[in-house]
Amino acid sequence: MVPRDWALVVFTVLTQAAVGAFLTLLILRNLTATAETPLRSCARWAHATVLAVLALGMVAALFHLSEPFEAVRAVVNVRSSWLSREVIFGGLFSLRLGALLLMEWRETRWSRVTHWLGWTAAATAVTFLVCQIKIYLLPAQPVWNSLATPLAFAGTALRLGVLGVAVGLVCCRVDETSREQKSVHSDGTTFATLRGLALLGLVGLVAELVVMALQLAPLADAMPAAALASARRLTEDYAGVLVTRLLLLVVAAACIVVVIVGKVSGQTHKLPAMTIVAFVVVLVSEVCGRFLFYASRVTVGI
Amino acid sequence: MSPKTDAIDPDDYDASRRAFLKWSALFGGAAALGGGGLLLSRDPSLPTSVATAVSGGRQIFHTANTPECLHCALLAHVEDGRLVKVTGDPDFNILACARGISRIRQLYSPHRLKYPMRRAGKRGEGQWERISWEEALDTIAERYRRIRGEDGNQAFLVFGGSGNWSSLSTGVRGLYSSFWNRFGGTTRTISGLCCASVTEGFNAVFGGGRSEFRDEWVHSRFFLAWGNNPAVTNQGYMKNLFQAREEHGARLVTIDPRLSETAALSDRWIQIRPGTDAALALGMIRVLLDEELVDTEYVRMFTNAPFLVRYGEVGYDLDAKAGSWPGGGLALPVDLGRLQLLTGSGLGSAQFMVWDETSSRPVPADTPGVHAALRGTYEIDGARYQPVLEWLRAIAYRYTPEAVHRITGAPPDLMAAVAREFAAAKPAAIIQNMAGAQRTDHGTLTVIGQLYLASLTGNVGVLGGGVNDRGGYLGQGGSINYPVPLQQNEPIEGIPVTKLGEYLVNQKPHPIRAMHVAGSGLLTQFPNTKKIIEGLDNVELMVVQDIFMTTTARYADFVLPVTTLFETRNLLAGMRSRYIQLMEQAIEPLFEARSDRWIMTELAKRLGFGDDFDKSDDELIRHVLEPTGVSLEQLEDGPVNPMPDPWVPFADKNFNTPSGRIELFSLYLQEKGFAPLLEYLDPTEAPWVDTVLAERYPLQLINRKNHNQVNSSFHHHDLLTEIWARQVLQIHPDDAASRGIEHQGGIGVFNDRGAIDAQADVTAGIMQVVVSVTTGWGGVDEKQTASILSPDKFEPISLGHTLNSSMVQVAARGDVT
Amino acid sequence: MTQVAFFVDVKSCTGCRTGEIACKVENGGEIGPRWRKVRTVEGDDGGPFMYHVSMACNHCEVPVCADACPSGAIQKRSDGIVVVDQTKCIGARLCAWACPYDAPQFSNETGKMEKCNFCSHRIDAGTGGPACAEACPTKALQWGTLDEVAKKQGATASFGPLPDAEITRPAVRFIPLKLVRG
Repeated sequence: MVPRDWALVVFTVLTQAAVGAFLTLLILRNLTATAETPLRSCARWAHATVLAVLALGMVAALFHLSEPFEAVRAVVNVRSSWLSREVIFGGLFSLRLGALLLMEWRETRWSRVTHWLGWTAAATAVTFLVCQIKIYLLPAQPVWNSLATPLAFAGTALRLGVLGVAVGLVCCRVDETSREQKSVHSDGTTFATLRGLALLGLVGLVAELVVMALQLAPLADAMPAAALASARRLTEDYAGVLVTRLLLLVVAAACIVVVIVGKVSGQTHKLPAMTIVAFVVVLVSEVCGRFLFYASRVTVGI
Repeated sequence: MSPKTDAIDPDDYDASRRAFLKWSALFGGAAALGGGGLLLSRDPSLPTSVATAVSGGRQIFHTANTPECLHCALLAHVEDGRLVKVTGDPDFNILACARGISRIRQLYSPHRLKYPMRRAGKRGEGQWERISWEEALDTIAERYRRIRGEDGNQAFLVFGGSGNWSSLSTGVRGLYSSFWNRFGGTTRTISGLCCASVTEGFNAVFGGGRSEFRDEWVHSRFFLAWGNNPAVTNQGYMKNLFQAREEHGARLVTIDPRLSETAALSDRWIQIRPGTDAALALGMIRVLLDEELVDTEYVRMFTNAPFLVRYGEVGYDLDAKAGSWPGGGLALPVDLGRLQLLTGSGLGSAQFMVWDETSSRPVPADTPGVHAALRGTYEIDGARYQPVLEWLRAIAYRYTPEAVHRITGAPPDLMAAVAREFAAAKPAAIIQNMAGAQRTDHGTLTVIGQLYLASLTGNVGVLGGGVNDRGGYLGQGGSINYPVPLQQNEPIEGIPVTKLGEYLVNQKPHPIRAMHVAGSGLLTQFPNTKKIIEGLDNVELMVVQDIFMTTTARYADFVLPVTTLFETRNLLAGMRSRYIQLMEQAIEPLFEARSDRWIMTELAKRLGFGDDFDKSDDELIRHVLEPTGVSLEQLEDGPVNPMPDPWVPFADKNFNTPSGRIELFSLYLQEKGFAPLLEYLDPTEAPWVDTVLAERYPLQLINRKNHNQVNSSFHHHDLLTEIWARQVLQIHPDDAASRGIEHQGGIGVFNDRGAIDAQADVTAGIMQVVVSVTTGWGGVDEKQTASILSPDKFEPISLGHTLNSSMVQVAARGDVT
Repeated sequence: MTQVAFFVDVKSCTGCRTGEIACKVENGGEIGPRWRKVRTVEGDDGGPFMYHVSMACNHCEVPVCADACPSGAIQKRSDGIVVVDQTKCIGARLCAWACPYDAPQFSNETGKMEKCNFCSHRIDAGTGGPACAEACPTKALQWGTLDEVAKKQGATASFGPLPDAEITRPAVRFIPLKLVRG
């Protein structure tokens, strides 16, 4: 791994978080289309945050290039390059999200056009994610060229998406409830939503364990050689990061379980804090995981 | 005021170097596609004369690589007075290697010495003061005159190394030798670090001479690379070996403690303990004798194997196959020095007697129709005689495959199989070539073993067969003149070369006050190097002329910048190649660098014998060439091979020995006070022999050659350093594990003589208890030079180098004592 | 036009790196990027073995580097030579990830990718082939058309630890080292 690859760590984690959060928000909105759902009032701010994160990620990607000012050339080879496609769909997603945000800003209620925009943006986001995954499905890089990459990338989107939205949810509620002195727990819909998100987050954490198992599996059957070398890098050169990541996952899982159970030492009003802690821990763990993803790359051959 | 400067600081020349590197777009793709025609290799249809001009203003000059390697012909491509490319000459018999073609980086290296300098700080400290050539030469000449006046010529010790091994420099019979001869002589070192034991082995058995047939390898059917790594040290000629393999199915067998580059490509690999080679040879000889694989007709006619020999006054009741010899050791319980050849009254081989089986009586060896016995005991005048071969049989008989295995570690079946293959394949070549195996405690015996094997199988004087020794026209009987004829000087007592440090420290045999070093890695090659540095305290003046601030130059009082081979006209006359080559000047000298020849001439002028030196380059070159029959004009068209082609060393089977034959029983050795027949002697410095020392230094250290350097030459080539960055010690996984050493980890290697740093290469390709480092690496101060660890004892017969009989300990870095 | 190709006779390779240096000298290469690299393979197979594999860009029939490059800087010429147009390179380095042979070399000095171009300037000018092959002292490294080199007896595009040739269909053929050790 070279220093410039850190740009990719930031880029992939942030943009995947943005994709995950956007999809989560869209699904939430549609699940509870009629009700006055908890996040509805904060939706504009939520989408703005997603756009900001997405933009930040895209800008970070420039630093991966040695010629960042010529980044626009990256779209030239759309005929065969998944990176070109990624840039195009990343850009399209940003544009559609931006347009959606504009619409929302003018009119909180979603019109037919807003809905159309929302769903096309979602499709673009998914395509964007697929392009990201496809870039890494290289036969020359066995540790990437497996189920681990889609699982890892989609997993990041899921974990950071749902937990990010959960954080938004509690922040939004805290903001509203501070005046009313009501706990999150007392609001049935919000709590149910939070629990649902937390449950999904937990599923996401399990998915990550599968990713790690896939990365380390070559240690058992010693094949192929490059994948084995990758696994060795994880367990020898980067054992500290690997263990840290595992510990963070455990901590995050514990926090999430608390949120699902809904009580901390019988005190329910700590739930917003617990949600935020879970998100931050997962975020750090994602950075570790993505670092390991790049650092464990070992090309086939000699 | 002269500015103080560190010589290795890049200066403004760096900028021009960078500019040069842009001459061809760094990247060749689209930019170069349009530039077709700019970059040309020599078209065979073009004339190859001096400075062949080709399109685009490019000129091509002939030159040659001068260190002690293969002396490959190079082509220097010049554009607008700048060297733009170096390539191997495709018309030469071999193609230049990485070192030769990377010479362009040496020429334009920012690390070159650029002007004369005088030491400013303490010796070795690296503080220098820039001075003019005038001042440098005047001062040096004045001090040389004074020292000579006070203590005579013996107060001088000079070294002309192989860094620039050419006629107008420090080559064999080169200008440097002429200079010091005209100076009145100096103290000299005795014997040599390279091949003393081969020389003595050849002296002992063949009566001298050399034997190189690399171009003839194509005719060989079998190659036995013995303690030698031709894939590295003769890589240009390996194509001939590969051709023999393709065309005749020739086999390659390598004897080496480590999986060398040659061993890796071999059909068989015999791994033996360093310094036990003579035991292996005796084991193979036993197989040849036991299984009647000896070429008996050849042996009868061309060797002294049938000569009758008597032990002591009445002879010995020798039963070569008796298992009842007294004593349990492998050596015969007799004093081989008491063996006497039976002589008659004739001359040459006629003075030696053989037993004629037809007439059942002793007759002179060259009696027509004689059928000389090779076996048996014969009673003559009351004493018992045996043919020489019978004694060899008696010696070899004890070297059973199992016994050889115990000494050498060689698998018994493998050793016997190789002996059989070697005897069956003709012609068979033993590739020896100044091998590491002869730089051992008893290296001469190793060589004699090889010569025995080649002789017993009838491979000497045969096209494609024999023992391939060092190369070169001069070694094969060719001759050249010194550029300036020599004068007769008073003899001066010398210093055994391996003992340099000890002699300097103890001021033996007399104090040395001045040392002059040209193109020599004195402090990266000479054994027990720390001792030499200690001895330098007794030397008041040391002058070094070189291209770079080498380790040796760092200890000088004056350093003089020398030109590279592209900046001067010179001659390379077949030291390590058969070819004689003119080295054309391709560009003007850079900086204030001057040729070795110019420096010698200027000093000669100041010392009062300048007239003989102050001639044109071509005058000197013509004089050197005189005995060769090759003219300067011929050379201007390219390298010339003055030798017969193909070349068969000893083709006439006429050997310069007392008998004119191959002397398995060596009168030469007997006269020098050594056993006249091959015996095996354990190395003295080996952990399985010196078990007391082994408690501290349990590993045997051997030196290896690598593709990046020739001795210490080329150490400063950045393109090579990029590939081979560090001194690397090869160590067996078991030895590494017990010391906590990891692959590619930093380690210290040490013994009582000093310590070096290296990187570990943990590899199953090296024998247990044996470790290997690259010879000549780096500098003493960087603690990577293996010569620091090398023993300064000498081989008893040849006084040669024994660096591969050395014991060390290795530790993961941090434990170095 | 036919596809050009390298040919490497591993059993005649001493590991001398002359090809590597010839490449640098011909193409003005600096320290850092190594268009041709000699890899040493060591192992144990009933006894230790070692051999050298000299490899540069294999000018693959399926140039995955060109496919991966987002800016279209890598092109395959009609004679099969895969070249990088540095004016188009933005330094994304995806070609290096995609290549199973470590052929694209990133220059920290220029910030661009570079790699072996089969000495296309010499091919185009008709003055010879790749400098590395012409400099090889043992003829272990040669060049020709893919059809020619593929016909050599025992030639293979992949052996030992080399990548599966199906990934890129490299325009290179090797004669592996096969030793029967006693």
